[in-house]
Amino acid sequence: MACIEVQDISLIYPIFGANARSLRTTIINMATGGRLDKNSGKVLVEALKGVSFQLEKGDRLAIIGHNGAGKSTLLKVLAKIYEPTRGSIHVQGRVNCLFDIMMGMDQELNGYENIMLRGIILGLSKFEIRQIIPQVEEFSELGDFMKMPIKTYSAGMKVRLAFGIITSVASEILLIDEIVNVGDTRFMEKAKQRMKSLVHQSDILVLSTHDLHVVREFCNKAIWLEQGRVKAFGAIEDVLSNYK
Amino acid sequence: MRTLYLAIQDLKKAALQHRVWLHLGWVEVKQRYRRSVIGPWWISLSMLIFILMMGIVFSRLFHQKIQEYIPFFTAGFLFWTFISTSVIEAAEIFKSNGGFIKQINLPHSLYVFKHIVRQVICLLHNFVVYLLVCLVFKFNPGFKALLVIPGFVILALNVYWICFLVAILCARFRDIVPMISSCVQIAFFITPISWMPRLLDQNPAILKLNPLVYLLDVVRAPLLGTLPTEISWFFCSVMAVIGSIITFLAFSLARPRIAFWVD
Repeated sequence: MACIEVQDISLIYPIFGANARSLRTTIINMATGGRLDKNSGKVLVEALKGVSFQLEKGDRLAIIGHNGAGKSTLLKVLAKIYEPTRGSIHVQGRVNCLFDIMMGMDQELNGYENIMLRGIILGLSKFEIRQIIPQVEEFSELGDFMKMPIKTYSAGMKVRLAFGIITSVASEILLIDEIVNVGDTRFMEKAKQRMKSLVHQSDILVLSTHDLHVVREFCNKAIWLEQGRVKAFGAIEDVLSNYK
Repeated sequence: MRTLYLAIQDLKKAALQHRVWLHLGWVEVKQRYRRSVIGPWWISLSMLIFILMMGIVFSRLFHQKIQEYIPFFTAGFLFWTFISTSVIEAAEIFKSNGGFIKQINLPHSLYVFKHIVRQVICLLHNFVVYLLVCLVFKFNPGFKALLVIPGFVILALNVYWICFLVAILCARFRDIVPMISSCVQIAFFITPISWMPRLLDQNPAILKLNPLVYLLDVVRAPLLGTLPTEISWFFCSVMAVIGSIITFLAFSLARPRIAFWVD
């Protein structure tokens, strides 16, 4: 049974200035007992502070908040890309991330080779990959372009291919960072339908977005972040009524 | 304790996902040489020409027979190329995979495995140069040559931890990157690759204290039809164990932070 338990997590990370990462600075700091630290240009950012919540099967959570509130950071913590500095996180179930959908696409490879590449990165077997090929072909409508290196594609075509691949993978937990714009209006509608069926198949959805229409359409719960803290968490309408 | 456990988990996951790094390593080689007719053989071809030119000049310079000097230089240079390119390119492992590290939860050690796969593929292409040299100079190392396989395993283990450590240090401290390449350059000249150890006086410190001498010995001696010394085997094994422990501890500390170091 898919579930997510986040308990009191905080995430502090360093942002390095131009010279903070040099060996010299570190050695000087060691020699001077770290007294020069404030000059080294190292800034610590507390991206998340004491965030806690629980999700279970059927929950569709929207993460809302202003720019820099920690929305993407929280998603990356859920995806286990960032490890929280404090607190604990427990995620059960197969996770599929729709962050940078172009990740791992190779410009020199053709459409089919990219399906193979991306499939392997996502941990699919060759057999599973062969099964999703017809779906991707059908969805992306690229026809003979599938046999061409993707560097010859237009931006929209690349997105269609990438979107087609990542949305073919079934998962229990779906993490999405902003719904992508997929080509023209007609295609947008098709992508939306596909997204809906994908969301429908998964047990838990966590979506970070600024678009409140999308939030209302897809989600039943919301978490409102402000400067890394939870401002509100609960049923969608309760949270949205205080937001804005 | 928990940091050590998580680092072991990372390595374990990477070992299980061998399909990912084998495939990615292969794709990277193909990608570099796409649209070039002879592809990765370019490295081998340039190596062949380099070896012949060096062979002609250096065999005279050192007053060695060319049919003896060229196989010696080929066998040494083959593995030197593997070691040096692995270590130099290791500086960029985490940085060049930043796109992955920031987007998907794959174990960090997987990128080091992928790096080694690519280097081994290049080494296998270059190995053909050695076979050609053997043919042309009618050089037959005999069955002892098979000892190159266990020798290569111990060499690869050492190269793995060195690359891993270099990758971690270079992700954290950006000015180690140029430092590494200058060290490698110097190492070429103080290691008996282009010159034979017997040209020096009896057992100088430069041979005794240079770990590369032992690392090369376990793979080069078999290809020349001789046996590596026991000291070389012993030294390489000890180095693999101690180096791996140091690297593992460094990785345990660095692992949660690598994702923040790569941008």
